[in-house]
Amino acid sequence: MRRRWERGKVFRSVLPHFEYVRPRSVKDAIRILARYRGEAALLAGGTDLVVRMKMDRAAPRAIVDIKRLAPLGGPVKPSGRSAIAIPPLTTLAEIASSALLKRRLPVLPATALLMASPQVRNRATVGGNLANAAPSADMAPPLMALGARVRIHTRGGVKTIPLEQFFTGPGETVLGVTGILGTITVPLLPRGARASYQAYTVREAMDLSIASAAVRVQKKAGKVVSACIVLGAVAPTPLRVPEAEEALTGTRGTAGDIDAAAEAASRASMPITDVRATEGYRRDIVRVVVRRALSEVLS
Amino acid sequence: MSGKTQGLIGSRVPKIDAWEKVTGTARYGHDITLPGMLHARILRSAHPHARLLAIDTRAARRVPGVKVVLTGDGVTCANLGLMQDHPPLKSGKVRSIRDEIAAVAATSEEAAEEACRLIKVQYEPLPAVFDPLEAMKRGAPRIHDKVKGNLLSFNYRFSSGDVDSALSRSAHVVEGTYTTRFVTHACMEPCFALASWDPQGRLLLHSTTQIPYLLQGHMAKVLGIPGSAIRIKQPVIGGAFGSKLDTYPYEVITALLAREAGRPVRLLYSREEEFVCSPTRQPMIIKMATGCDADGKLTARRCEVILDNGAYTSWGITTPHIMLLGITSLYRVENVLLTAQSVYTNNPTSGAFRGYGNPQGTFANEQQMEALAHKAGIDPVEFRLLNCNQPHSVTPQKFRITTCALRECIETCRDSIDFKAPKEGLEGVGMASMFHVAGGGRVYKSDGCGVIAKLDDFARLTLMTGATEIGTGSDTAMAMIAAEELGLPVENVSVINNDTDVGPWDVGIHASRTTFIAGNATILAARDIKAQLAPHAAEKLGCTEEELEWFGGAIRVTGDHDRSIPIDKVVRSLHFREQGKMVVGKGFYDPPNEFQARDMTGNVSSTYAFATHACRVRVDPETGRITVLKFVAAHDVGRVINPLGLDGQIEGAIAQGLGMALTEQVRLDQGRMQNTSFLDYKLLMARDMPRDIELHYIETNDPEGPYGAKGVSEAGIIPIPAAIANAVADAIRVRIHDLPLTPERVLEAIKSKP
Repeated sequence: MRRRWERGKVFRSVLPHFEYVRPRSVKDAIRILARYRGEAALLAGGTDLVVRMKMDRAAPRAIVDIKRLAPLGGPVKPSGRSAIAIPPLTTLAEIASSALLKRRLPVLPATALLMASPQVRNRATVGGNLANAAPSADMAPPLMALGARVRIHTRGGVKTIPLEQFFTGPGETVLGVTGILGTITVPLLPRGARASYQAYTVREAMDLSIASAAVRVQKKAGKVVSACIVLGAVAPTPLRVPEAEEALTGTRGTAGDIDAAAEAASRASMPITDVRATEGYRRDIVRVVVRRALSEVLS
Repeated sequence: MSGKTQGLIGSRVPKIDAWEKVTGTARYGHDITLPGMLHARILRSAHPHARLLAIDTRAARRVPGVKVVLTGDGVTCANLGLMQDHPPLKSGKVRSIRDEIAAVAATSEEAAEEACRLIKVQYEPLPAVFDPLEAMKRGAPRIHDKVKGNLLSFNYRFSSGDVDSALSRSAHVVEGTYTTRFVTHACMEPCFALASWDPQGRLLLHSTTQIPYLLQGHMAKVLGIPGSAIRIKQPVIGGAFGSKLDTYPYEVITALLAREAGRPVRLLYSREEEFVCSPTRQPMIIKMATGCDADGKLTARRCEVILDNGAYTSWGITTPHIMLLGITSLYRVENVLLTAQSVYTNNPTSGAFRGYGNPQGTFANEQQMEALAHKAGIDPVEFRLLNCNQPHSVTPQKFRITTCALRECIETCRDSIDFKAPKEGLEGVGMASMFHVAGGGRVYKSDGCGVIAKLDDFARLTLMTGATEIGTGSDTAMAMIAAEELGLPVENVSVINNDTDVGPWDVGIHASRTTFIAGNATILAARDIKAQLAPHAAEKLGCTEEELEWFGGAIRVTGDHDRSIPIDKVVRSLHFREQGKMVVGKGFYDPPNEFQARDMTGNVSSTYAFATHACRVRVDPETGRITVLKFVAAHDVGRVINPLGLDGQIEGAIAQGLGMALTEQVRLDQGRMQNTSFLDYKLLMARDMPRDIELHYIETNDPEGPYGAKGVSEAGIIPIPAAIANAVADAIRVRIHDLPLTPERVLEAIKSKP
């Protein structure tokens, strides 16, 4: 019987070899990405990429450093009268400390503070958190629930799409091989609307969600007139659950209404079993985080 | 010699190595480079159990910078481990996924890594077994050819009285099976070794070992060279907790590579490698039954333990010694029958970890105490007090208990946690106690430690010793003890303990022994110096030796402090003259304890530690998540040497113990670890600690201890999983027998309630 040759396991202590490129402009960056045909990775904060490379889960031929591209950076600022523009290179620490966000969209700084550690938040960017497209990415559900739109720089030009249409799978987005995520524009909450994000983790810090839920609910004359409910870590992408939204819309938002929405969300979720939790436990937790988020905004 | 002492013992002294550690100037292994040093990498198995048919290293040897490539067939060296079943480099067969198949030394880390990746291996995968109960069955894959049924011949049986008849006559009996998982130490510093050979063929091995002198002996045996041709040096050690208590393949491999290359070779694990390839706490399946009479007095206990040994034998196999000690001797029970059997599997190898089996045993023992008390209708705290050990008693295993404050520990916890306070929602309170060695532990022919103390012309005292510091604060305790004896400031004392060419022998840092044993050796060495100085000081001061007082860097006359002479002046007067002499003191302390006989009786430690922990927890009924609201620890420590160090030991143990109780587990799939990062191996963090921690120390002034102290470094972790499990059972009214008590498991238990 013929035996085949196999390798063994070598643990990596040094980063694999890669080329380092610093583009002059966003267009230049897109050209470089095209040239490497999917074998290049964008570097912003590096808090996901470098860790993955060290654990042998990514080995890009080139690293394209976009940290200093001016159009992707700059301060968080108002965009017109009814929205806020967040550049993709904004760090989580900047999100957490932005006075504008704390005043107008406090759910975003609160979310950033749940993530990682102060050291990591100083480097990690909101654009990286979205474009990395981990199903458990914490910034995605609240931004989606708030109705954020994202600018996409591609070879064909620039377009703006709802964040809801951005994710296509675990680690996959509409950016494809050559696209770059641009400014994130978040509408302010209309009168009578409130938002909350609830993430359930095993530890108090430095942990990923088992399941999470972001909600935005608007009430008029005692009734829920619109609701947006987005789940994290329980589907291949952040998951909007219209079933739960419908269950809540038109109701008075009583405890019973909240339970019905939470139940609908749990049923609509598509969790997997992995090293962090089982599918069943994740469904239980969806119910809990949706109920807690809705209770907060409807109290 | 008597007189006023400086009162250092019991004062809060910052660790003497704190400055260098906090400022980042401490020299750890990876800070050391030697001229011409090469970097090593190890190729490990792709399969948990397989025959090795062929290894092709040709491509690896062609990588620029590669100097040596070794495989198991290319080296001759003896096996490692207590059962000598562990080849440093495997040939013929691999038995776990961490198995070392080849090793490379190269001029850069990149070249060494690339070369390892280019090595090709032909495997013939064999059926593997990952559950000790499956491994014991007929027809299970045999892991070591000569070992039938995968059963290690090194097993344990202890019997006292007639357990079966005592259990059948008991008014109440509880029975249960308790299981614990693989847990890993997660030291801040990963495994490290740096080897170099001098032109005369002498090996210098830098290692973060806990056992420098045993390592010297092991390396001699494995390499086939005299022990005198081996020198071990230890850099500052970034955590050990028992993980560095044995000699491991990576240390031998590094030495072999360096010999072959004729150049120094350094090996440093990556974090992932540290998770996958370092030792573990052995999982246990503990089947236990305990009975009591109608009044609540314990009558009998039966306990059968199965241990997962992993693929090779390290110290894991000896943990029943210590685990059984808690089971037989924490409470008074006359009729006891215990057996423990270790079983080979294709899992990671079990090693030593703080508590040495006792946290697992206590998890079963103290849950049964609580359950039995409820069954007998007796308050669990009263039940424990009724059965708790007494000072000056002998247990069935012939442990001679001298000082013992178990009763006070239990009462302190009872009064602090307030068992009767009203509870909100799913709140519960729980308690657990522990019994552990605290005056050394004779597991080797010598349990001793030597200290050489040199007092120089500037009143600097240097303690040279083999006693290793792994972060427990033992160096500081030794410095305090020496300073107290000689009346010197602590700042005047250096401890040199990193070199087998310098320090006298020590068996190693384990069994909570270092402050106790090395502390006693320090007292002997300091008193040797005093005996040398006293006649001269007395003559100069015109008093008797008995009147001398050692204080503030001087020797003075008790009651007449104007008659005083600086201690260094006495040293100089002895040194700087014709036929002068040096002032060097010696101390060797080997405690009065005994090897256990084959029947597992014998006073293994010269004194014992007792402690009780109690906690109040809240369980989230929707998620199963446990919040520890309050934690109380009461310890019989003999005497507090350094309260700062002691607080650190117990608080650190609480952090580590809560991790073991709540979240930590090595998740294995077919012998492969799945959670190889700090993200998924869930050590608890600062924000997970209870907001309210109360520490109580009960001083029993042990007659054998240095200044009355007992060993404490393991004690803190031992009762924690049991105390948490008892509190959770109180909260949710379901008892969980499996560690860890993850939210998912707790929620499942809540849902299982009828």
